[in-house]
Amino acid sequence: MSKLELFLGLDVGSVSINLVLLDQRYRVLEKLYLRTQGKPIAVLSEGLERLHHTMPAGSTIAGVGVTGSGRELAGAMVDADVIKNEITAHGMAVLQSIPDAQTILEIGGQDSKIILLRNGVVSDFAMNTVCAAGTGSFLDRQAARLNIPIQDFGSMALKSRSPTRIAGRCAVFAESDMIHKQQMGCSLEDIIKGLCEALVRNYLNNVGKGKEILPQIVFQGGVAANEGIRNSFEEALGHPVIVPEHYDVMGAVGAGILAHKAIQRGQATKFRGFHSIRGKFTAKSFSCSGCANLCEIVEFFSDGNIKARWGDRCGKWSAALVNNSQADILA
Amino acid sequence: MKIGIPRALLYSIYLPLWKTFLEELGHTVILSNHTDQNILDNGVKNCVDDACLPVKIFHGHVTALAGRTDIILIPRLVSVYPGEFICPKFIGLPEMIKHSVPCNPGIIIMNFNARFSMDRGYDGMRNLGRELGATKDLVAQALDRARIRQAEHMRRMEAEPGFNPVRSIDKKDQKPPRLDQGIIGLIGHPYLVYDRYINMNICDKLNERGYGILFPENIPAESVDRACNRYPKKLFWSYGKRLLGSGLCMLENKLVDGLILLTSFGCGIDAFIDELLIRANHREYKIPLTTITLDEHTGQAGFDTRLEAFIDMMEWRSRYDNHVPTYGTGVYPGKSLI
Repeated sequence: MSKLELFLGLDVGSVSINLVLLDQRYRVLEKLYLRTQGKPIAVLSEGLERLHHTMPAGSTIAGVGVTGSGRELAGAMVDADVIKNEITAHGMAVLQSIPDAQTILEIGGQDSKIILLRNGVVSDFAMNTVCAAGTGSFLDRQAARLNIPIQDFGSMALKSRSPTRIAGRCAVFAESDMIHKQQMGCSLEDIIKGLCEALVRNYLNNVGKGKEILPQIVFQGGVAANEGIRNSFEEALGHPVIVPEHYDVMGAVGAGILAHKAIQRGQATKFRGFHSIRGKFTAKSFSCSGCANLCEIVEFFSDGNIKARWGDRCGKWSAALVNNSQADILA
Repeated sequence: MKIGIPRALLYSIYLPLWKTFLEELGHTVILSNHTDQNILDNGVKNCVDDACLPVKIFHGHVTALAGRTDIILIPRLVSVYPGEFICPKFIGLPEMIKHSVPCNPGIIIMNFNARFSMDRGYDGMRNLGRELGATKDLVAQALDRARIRQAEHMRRMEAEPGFNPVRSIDKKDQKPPRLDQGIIGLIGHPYLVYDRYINMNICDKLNERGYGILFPENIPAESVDRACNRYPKKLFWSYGKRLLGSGLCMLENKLVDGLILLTSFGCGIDAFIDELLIRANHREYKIPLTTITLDEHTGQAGFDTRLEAFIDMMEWRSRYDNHVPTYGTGVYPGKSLI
């Protein structure tokens, strides 16, 4: 039997770090969803170690792709073959698993985005602008304030009989509105459902403004676990909303698929095995005094050897960074 | 006299006029440095908090010039084209500087109001020349020479696609044309698209991916007017009209493969100009288009993600558009005809 070739996909986000192992038919063999907790390097190292132990006997990693806001960091750590933005990764993951999807609603920890797919390619997208209201971190905070485990937030919303109206434009307004309603005596279920509706309204007005939302509609990202939000989306859009099986790690799945495509095109993998990531990774930052911009430069070390630098506007520090080729991997 | 000119707001468009005029009158012109972190910080610190980012940055440039020059020139642009106005923040600019910048640098105000006619627009400069002690004849001569320089600057902006006025002011070469991936229209106010600090160096980033850029100033004024004729009302803010008209002209004539709308957070005119352009594209032209909002962020990650995703999308879409299905297979990948 030939060696089983697997692909590793990583999504290093603000709130969670997701790791998946894919086979060549893009089936998810293993997935990990870990909280970033402000320590991406430590959490990613630990996740990779855990994933290594679950690999089937005789299998090897044939390619690695990374995405998410921490993709540069993760890419330098694992010597990734592909470092791609989240839009492309999410689009790719859905196109492979739900080929007739036309709309992706994605709400993560700090970002929310909408991606339109037409004829098998990403045809338009939008991301939240400068404000993170209505994303996962806001829901997290409200759940903590109301002392409800975040897992129960969605199911409580489904119990609501007459949802209250909550202002969703701004997280601060939403919170004060929720407190007013709570002091008026509205039930917790109605308030939570009201919050779900407000988030959906805000998302559709802000991120989804002017976009043609056609079925199939796929809802993914950490917030897709929340049945209350999903339910409010279905009510607002008048179409069923699909939450894929691996909704929480779709970015990582997409990154893995992109890695496979890069390898298929003849790129040799740069990944040098799990042993090479066992080293001690450290990062330190300093302020460059070369000009008045005072860029914050981050230097990334593996066992004391410099691996990468980033953060400079002029490129004089990051020029040392091995340039990940912008390989033609989308087709 | 050493006269400082802030490298902010519309200097990239009008600097040849202002600089030549002052130099012909015998003064030395000193420009502030290009926008940097320090200038941005000082601008934010010394400006009312709800002004837009470009106005804050202007304050930063004034602070940077204070002490280096005898006096600082603050243009007050009221109208740059007969019958039209521009954003009122330009009209109030000298007063904002007077009351916000604490070190109180000496300023001189140069009015420009072409509302009634182009020639009367220059009255403000004539008055300024006399205030600076020049004779009437010298002022007239200086203005003539300045207008010739300015006309040449404007001509090059319209005639040379991708002409970057800031590179011209800095006497640097225009970008070499090894840009074979396509052309992207970069729609935004001059103080965003030509300020490489605020716009996170978008031009170089696009060039590195092999894309040439078309700026709003590259579209001739008549084409801008013609393109805007489709709307029932006159768009009377000159720069709003230019953004919308140049964008429409790029779409109508298929001059670009994609459009990026750059806007600074809270810009009133962009709020509806961009929307009109997005709707026109959505209705008729359907080319890849995205909006990128700029504010005081210094982290480039969010910006780079959007830009990279946009370019990926363009390339992905164009590959699909050029896809010719083989016999018996569907036009839509993954769906068989039979």
